[in-house]
Amino acid sequence: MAKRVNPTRMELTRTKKRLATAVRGHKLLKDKQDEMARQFMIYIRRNRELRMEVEELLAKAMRNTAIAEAEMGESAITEALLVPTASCEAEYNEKNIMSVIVPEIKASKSEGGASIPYSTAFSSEYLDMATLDIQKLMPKLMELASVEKTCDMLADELERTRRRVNALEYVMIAEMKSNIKFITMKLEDNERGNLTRLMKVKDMMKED
Amino acid sequence: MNEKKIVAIGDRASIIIFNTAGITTHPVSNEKEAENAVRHFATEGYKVIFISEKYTESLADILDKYRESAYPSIVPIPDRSGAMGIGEKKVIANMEKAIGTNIFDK
Repeated sequence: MAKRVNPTRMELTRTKKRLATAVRGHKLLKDKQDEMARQFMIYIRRNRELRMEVEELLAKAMRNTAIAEAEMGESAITEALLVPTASCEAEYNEKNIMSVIVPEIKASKSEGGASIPYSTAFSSEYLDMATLDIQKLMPKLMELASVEKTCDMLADELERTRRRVNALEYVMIAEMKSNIKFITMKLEDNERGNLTRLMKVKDMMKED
Repeated sequence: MNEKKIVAIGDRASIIIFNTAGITTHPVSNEKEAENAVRHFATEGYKVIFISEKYTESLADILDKYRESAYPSIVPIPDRSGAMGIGEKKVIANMEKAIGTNIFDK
Protein backbone atom coordinates (compact mmCIF):
# COMPACT_ATOMS: atom_id res chain seq x y z
CA MET A 1 0.00 0.00 0.00
CA ALA A 2 1.37 3.34 -1.01
CA LYS A 3 1.94 5.80 1.79
CA ARG A 4 -0.86 8.31 2.19
CA VAL A 5 -0.32 11.76 0.81
CA ASN A 6 -1.82 15.13 1.64
CA PRO A 7 -5.02 15.42 -0.35
CA THR A 8 -4.41 19.02 -1.38
CA ARG A 9 -4.47 20.72 -4.75
CA MET A 10 -0.82 21.65 -4.38
CA GLU A 11 0.17 18.06 -3.83
CA LEU A 12 -1.95 17.07 -6.82
CA THR A 13 -0.21 19.52 -9.16
CA ARG A 14 3.17 18.47 -7.87
CA THR A 15 2.46 14.77 -8.33
CA LYS A 16 1.14 15.36 -11.83
CA LYS A 17 4.33 17.16 -12.78
CA ARG A 18 6.46 14.38 -11.36
CA LEU A 19 4.39 11.83 -13.22
CA ALA A 20 4.95 13.62 -16.51
CA THR A 21 8.72 13.64 -15.90
CA ALA A 22 8.72 9.99 -14.89
CA VAL A 23 6.79 8.99 -18.00
CA ARG A 24 9.21 10.87 -20.23
CA GLY A 25 12.20 9.35 -18.44
CA HIS A 26 10.67 5.93 -18.77
CA LYS A 27 10.22 6.35 -22.49
CA LEU A 28 13.80 7.53 -22.97
CA LEU A 29 15.22 4.69 -20.91
CA LYS A 30 13.07 2.19 -22.73
CA ASP A 31 14.40 3.48 -26.06
CA LYS A 32 17.94 3.25 -24.74
CA GLN A 33 17.33 -0.30 -23.60
CA ASP A 34 15.92 -1.31 -26.98
CA GLU A 35 18.81 0.14 -28.92
CA MET A 36 21.35 -1.36 -26.55
CA ALA A 37 19.73 -4.76 -26.88
CA ARG A 38 19.98 -4.47 -30.66
CA GLN A 39 23.67 -3.57 -30.51
CA PHE A 40 24.30 -6.25 -27.93
CA MET A 41 22.83 -8.90 -30.20
CA ILE A 42 25.26 -7.96 -32.95
CA TYR A 43 28.23 -8.10 -30.62
CA ILE A 44 27.25 -11.27 -28.82
CA ARG A 45 26.84 -13.15 -32.12
CA ARG A 46 30.28 -11.99 -33.24
CA ASN A 47 31.66 -12.86 -29.83
CA ARG A 48 30.37 -16.41 -30.06
CA GLU A 49 31.70 -16.93 -33.59
CA LEU A 50 35.11 -15.56 -32.67
CA ARG A 51 35.29 -17.57 -29.51
CA MET A 52 34.60 -20.83 -31.26
CA GLU A 53 37.10 -20.06 -33.99
CA VAL A 54 39.82 -18.86 -31.64
CA GLU A 55 39.39 -21.66 -29.14
CA GLU A 56 39.69 -24.29 -31.80
CA LEU A 57 42.78 -22.81 -33.45
CA LEU A 58 44.43 -21.89 -30.20
CA ALA A 59 43.99 -25.35 -28.74
CA LYS A 60 45.42 -26.77 -31.95
CA ALA A 61 48.43 -24.49 -31.82
CA MET A 62 49.03 -25.39 -28.20
CA ARG A 63 48.73 -29.09 -28.92
CA ASN A 64 51.26 -28.71 -31.72
CA THR A 65 53.59 -26.88 -29.36
CA ALA A 66 53.24 -29.71 -26.88
CA ILE A 67 54.17 -32.25 -29.54
CA ALA A 68 57.10 -30.08 -30.61
CA GLU A 69 58.23 -29.84 -27.02
CA ALA A 70 58.12 -33.59 -26.68
CA GLU A 71 60.28 -33.92 -29.78
CA MET A 72 62.76 -31.13 -29.10
CA GLY A 73 62.95 -30.94 -25.33
CA GLU A 74 62.02 -28.13 -23.01
CA SER A 75 65.19 -26.08 -23.16
CA ALA A 76 65.45 -26.22 -26.94
CA ILE A 77 61.91 -25.02 -27.42
CA THR A 78 62.29 -22.24 -24.88
CA GLU A 79 65.38 -21.08 -26.68
CA ALA A 80 63.72 -21.28 -30.09
CA LEU A 81 60.79 -19.15 -28.96
CA LEU A 82 62.80 -16.71 -26.93
CA VAL A 83 62.99 -13.94 -29.48
CA PRO A 84 59.75 -12.76 -31.02
CA THR A 85 59.86 -11.80 -34.66
CA ALA A 86 56.49 -10.22 -34.93
CA SER A 87 55.93 -7.36 -32.61
CA CYS A 88 52.29 -7.26 -31.78
CA GLU A 89 51.21 -3.73 -32.39
CA ALA A 90 47.68 -2.56 -32.00
CA GLU A 91 45.74 0.61 -31.59
CA TYR A 92 43.82 0.89 -28.39
CA ASN A 93 40.90 3.24 -28.65
CA GLU A 94 37.64 3.69 -26.88
CA LYS A 95 34.22 3.79 -28.41
CA ASN A 96 30.93 5.07 -27.10
CA ILE A 97 27.94 2.76 -27.48
CA MET A 98 24.84 4.31 -25.94
CA SER A 99 27.04 6.10 -23.39
CA VAL A 100 28.92 2.94 -22.46
CA ILE A 101 32.62 3.41 -23.06
CA VAL A 102 33.88 0.21 -24.62
CA PRO A 103 37.33 -0.71 -25.89
CA GLU A 104 38.16 -0.81 -29.56
CA ILE A 105 41.34 -2.65 -30.43
CA LYS A 106 42.65 -2.66 -33.94
CA ALA A 107 45.55 -4.94 -34.64
CA SER A 108 47.88 -3.26 -37.06
CA LYS A 109 49.70 -5.59 -39.36
CA SER A 110 53.00 -6.52 -37.81
CA GLU A 111 55.92 -5.72 -40.04
CA GLY A 112 57.51 -8.64 -41.83
CA GLY A 113 54.34 -10.67 -41.71
CA ALA A 114 54.24 -14.21 -40.43
CA SER A 115 57.68 -15.65 -40.00
CA ILE A 116 59.59 -18.17 -38.02
CA PRO A 117 62.01 -16.75 -35.47
CA TYR A 118 64.29 -19.76 -35.11
CA SER A 119 66.44 -21.91 -37.32
CA THR A 120 64.34 -24.60 -38.89
CA ALA A 121 67.24 -27.03 -38.98
CA PHE A 122 66.80 -28.35 -35.47
CA SER A 123 63.20 -27.64 -34.77
CA SER A 124 60.10 -29.72 -35.12
CA GLU A 125 57.66 -29.08 -37.93
CA TYR A 126 54.90 -28.96 -35.34
CA LEU A 127 56.49 -25.88 -33.87
CA ASP A 128 56.46 -24.21 -37.29
CA MET A 129 52.78 -24.92 -37.65
CA ALA A 130 52.02 -23.63 -34.19
CA THR A 131 54.05 -20.47 -34.76
CA LEU A 132 52.42 -19.64 -38.06
CA ASP A 133 48.97 -20.45 -36.68
CA ILE A 134 49.35 -18.19 -33.70
CA GLN A 135 50.64 -15.31 -35.79
CA LYS A 136 47.71 -15.67 -38.14
CA LEU A 137 45.39 -15.79 -35.18
CA MET A 138 46.54 -12.52 -33.64
CA PRO A 139 44.06 -10.15 -35.33
CA LYS A 140 41.24 -12.50 -34.31
CA LEU A 141 42.50 -12.61 -30.75
CA MET A 142 42.60 -8.84 -30.60
CA GLU A 143 39.10 -8.62 -31.98
CA LEU A 144 37.90 -11.19 -29.49
CA ALA A 145 39.43 -9.18 -26.66
CA SER A 146 37.55 -6.05 -27.64
CA VAL A 147 34.27 -7.74 -28.61
CA GLU A 148 34.13 -9.81 -25.46
CA LYS A 149 34.80 -6.83 -23.26
CA THR A 150 32.13 -4.89 -25.14
CA CYS A 151 29.65 -7.69 -24.47
CA ASP A 152 30.55 -7.75 -20.78
CA MET A 153 30.01 -4.04 -20.42
CA LEU A 154 26.86 -3.90 -22.52
CA ALA A 155 25.35 -6.80 -20.58
CA ASP A 156 25.98 -5.02 -17.28
CA GLU A 157 24.58 -1.76 -18.56
CA LEU A 158 21.55 -3.46 -20.08
CA GLU A 159 20.76 -5.13 -16.78
CA ARG A 160 21.01 -1.81 -14.97
CA THR A 161 18.83 -0.07 -17.54
CA ARG A 162 16.24 -2.82 -17.39
CA ARG A 163 16.02 -2.45 -13.63
CA ARG A 164 15.58 1.29 -13.96
CA VAL A 165 12.90 0.89 -16.60
CA ASN A 166 11.04 -1.62 -14.46
CA ALA A 167 11.37 0.46 -11.32
CA LEU A 168 9.92 3.44 -13.14
CA GLU A 169 7.18 1.48 -14.85
CA TYR A 170 5.95 -0.72 -12.04
CA VAL A 171 6.84 1.24 -8.92
CA MET A 172 7.18 4.98 -9.40
CA ILE A 173 4.66 5.57 -12.15
CA ALA A 174 2.12 3.16 -10.66
CA GLU A 175 2.46 4.75 -7.24
CA MET A 176 2.07 8.27 -8.57
CA LYS A 177 -1.00 7.30 -10.56
CA SER A 178 -2.64 5.81 -7.49
CA ASN A 179 -1.71 8.90 -5.46
CA ILE A 180 -3.27 11.17 -8.07
CA LYS A 181 -6.41 9.07 -8.02
CA PHE A 182 -6.52 9.18 -4.24
CA ILE A 183 -6.12 12.96 -4.12
CA THR A 184 -8.71 13.56 -6.83
CA MET A 185 -11.24 11.35 -5.10
CA LYS A 186 -10.59 12.95 -1.74
CA LEU A 187 -10.95 16.43 -3.22
CA GLU A 188 -14.19 15.49 -4.97
CA ASP A 189 -15.49 13.99 -1.78
CA ASN A 190 -14.68 17.17 0.14
CA GLU A 191 -16.40 19.17 -2.56
CA ARG A 192 -19.54 17.03 -2.30
CA GLY A 193 -19.47 17.34 1.49
CA ASN A 194 -19.24 21.08 1.15
CA LEU A 195 -22.12 21.22 -1.29
CA THR A 196 -24.49 19.16 0.87
CA ARG A 197 -23.55 21.26 3.87
CA LEU A 198 -24.40 24.42 1.96
CA MET A 199 -27.74 22.97 0.81
CA LYS A 200 -28.53 21.91 4.35
CA VAL A 201 -27.70 25.37 5.71
CA LYS A 202 -29.84 26.95 3.01
CA ASP A 203 -32.81 24.72 3.97
CA MET A 204 -32.36 25.56 7.65
CA MET A 205 -32.32 29.26 6.83
CA LYS A 206 -35.50 28.88 4.77
CA GLU A 207 -37.28 27.17 7.70
CA ASP A 208 -36.47 30.05 10.01
CA MET B 1 58.54 0.84 -30.76
CA ASN B 2 55.34 0.54 -28.84
CA GLU B 3 55.63 -0.84 -25.37
CA LYS B 4 54.08 -4.22 -24.95
CA LYS B 5 50.48 -4.09 -23.92
CA ILE B 6 49.39 -7.69 -24.10
CA VAL B 7 50.17 -10.50 -21.72
CA ALA B 8 49.28 -14.17 -21.55
CA ILE B 9 49.00 -15.86 -18.16
CA GLY B 10 48.86 -19.62 -17.81
CA ASP B 11 51.07 -22.65 -17.44
CA ARG B 12 54.38 -22.38 -19.21
CA ALA B 13 53.85 -25.09 -21.77
CA SER B 14 50.54 -23.70 -22.93
CA ILE B 15 51.47 -20.08 -23.34
CA ILE B 16 55.07 -20.30 -24.51
CA ILE B 17 53.90 -20.17 -28.12
CA PHE B 18 52.57 -16.64 -27.56
CA ASN B 19 56.18 -15.48 -27.39
CA THR B 20 56.50 -15.70 -31.14
CA ALA B 21 53.57 -13.38 -31.67
CA GLY B 22 55.13 -10.66 -29.59
CA ILE B 23 52.95 -11.17 -26.54
CA THR B 24 54.50 -11.04 -23.10
CA THR B 25 54.15 -14.41 -21.42
CA HIS B 26 53.93 -14.90 -17.71
CA PRO B 27 53.98 -18.54 -16.62
CA VAL B 28 52.17 -19.35 -13.40
CA SER B 29 51.62 -22.67 -11.68
CA ASN B 30 48.78 -22.06 -9.25
CA GLU B 31 45.78 -19.81 -8.56
CA LYS B 32 47.64 -17.58 -6.14
CA GLU B 33 50.32 -16.79 -8.67
CA ALA B 34 47.72 -16.21 -11.36
CA GLU B 35 45.86 -13.83 -9.07
CA ASN B 36 48.98 -11.83 -8.31
CA ALA B 37 49.89 -11.75 -11.99
CA VAL B 38 46.47 -10.41 -13.00
CA ARG B 39 46.64 -7.68 -10.36
CA HIS B 40 50.17 -6.80 -11.35
CA PHE B 41 49.56 -6.53 -15.09
CA ALA B 42 46.26 -4.71 -14.65
CA THR B 43 47.88 -2.01 -12.57
CA GLU B 44 50.84 -1.86 -14.95
CA GLY B 45 48.47 -0.66 -17.64
CA TYR B 46 48.37 -3.73 -19.84
CA LYS B 47 45.45 -3.51 -22.25
CA VAL B 48 44.73 -7.16 -22.92
CA ILE B 49 45.26 -10.03 -20.52
CA PHE B 50 44.82 -13.56 -21.81
CA ILE B 51 44.38 -16.01 -18.99
CA SER B 52 44.10 -19.78 -18.96
CA GLU B 53 40.52 -20.90 -18.50
CA LYS B 54 41.29 -23.09 -15.52
CA TYR B 55 42.23 -20.06 -13.43
CA THR B 56 39.25 -17.91 -14.30
CA GLU B 57 36.76 -19.59 -11.98
CA SER B 58 38.80 -19.14 -8.84
CA LEU B 59 39.64 -15.59 -9.86
CA ALA B 60 36.04 -14.60 -10.58
CA ASP B 61 36.06 -11.89 -7.87
CA ILE B 62 39.08 -10.12 -9.29
CA LEU B 63 37.96 -10.47 -12.88
CA ASP B 64 34.58 -8.95 -11.96
CA LYS B 65 36.40 -5.93 -10.60
CA TYR B 66 37.80 -5.17 -14.03
CA ARG B 67 34.47 -5.57 -15.83
CA GLU B 68 33.53 -1.95 -15.32
CA SER B 69 36.30 -0.19 -17.23
CA ALA B 70 37.14 -0.49 -20.92
CA TYR B 71 40.68 -1.67 -20.23
CA PRO B 72 42.13 -4.12 -19.36
CA SER B 73 40.20 -6.65 -21.34
CA ILE B 74 40.65 -10.01 -19.65
CA VAL B 75 40.03 -12.91 -21.99
CA PRO B 76 39.91 -16.54 -20.94
CA ILE B 77 41.74 -18.80 -23.38
CA PRO B 78 41.91 -22.57 -23.56
CA ASP B 79 45.10 -24.35 -22.58
CA ARG B 80 46.83 -27.26 -24.27
CA SER B 81 44.23 -29.76 -23.09
CA GLY B 82 41.58 -27.97 -25.14
CA ALA B 83 38.65 -25.72 -24.37
CA MET B 84 36.77 -26.40 -21.15
CA GLY B 85 33.76 -24.46 -22.35
CA ILE B 86 34.29 -21.63 -19.87
CA GLY B 87 34.53 -19.01 -22.58
CA GLU B 88 31.34 -20.30 -24.14
CA LYS B 89 29.67 -20.26 -20.74
CA LYS B 90 30.70 -16.66 -20.30
CA VAL B 91 29.08 -15.71 -23.60
CA ILE B 92 25.85 -17.43 -22.57
CA ALA B 93 25.94 -15.87 -19.09
CA ASN B 94 26.25 -12.41 -20.65
CA MET B 95 23.41 -13.19 -22.98
CA GLU B 96 21.13 -14.29 -20.15
CA LYS B 97 22.06 -11.28 -18.11
CA ALA B 98 21.29 -8.85 -20.91
CA ILE B 99 18.33 -10.38 -22.70
CA GLY B 100 16.98 -12.65 -19.99
CA THR B 101 17.19 -15.83 -22.01
CA ASN B 102 19.65 -17.80 -24.06
CA ILE B 103 18.57 -17.48 -27.67
CA PHE B 104 21.44 -19.58 -29.00
CA ASP B 105 19.67 -22.69 -27.71
CA LYS B 106 17.75 -24.17 -30.53
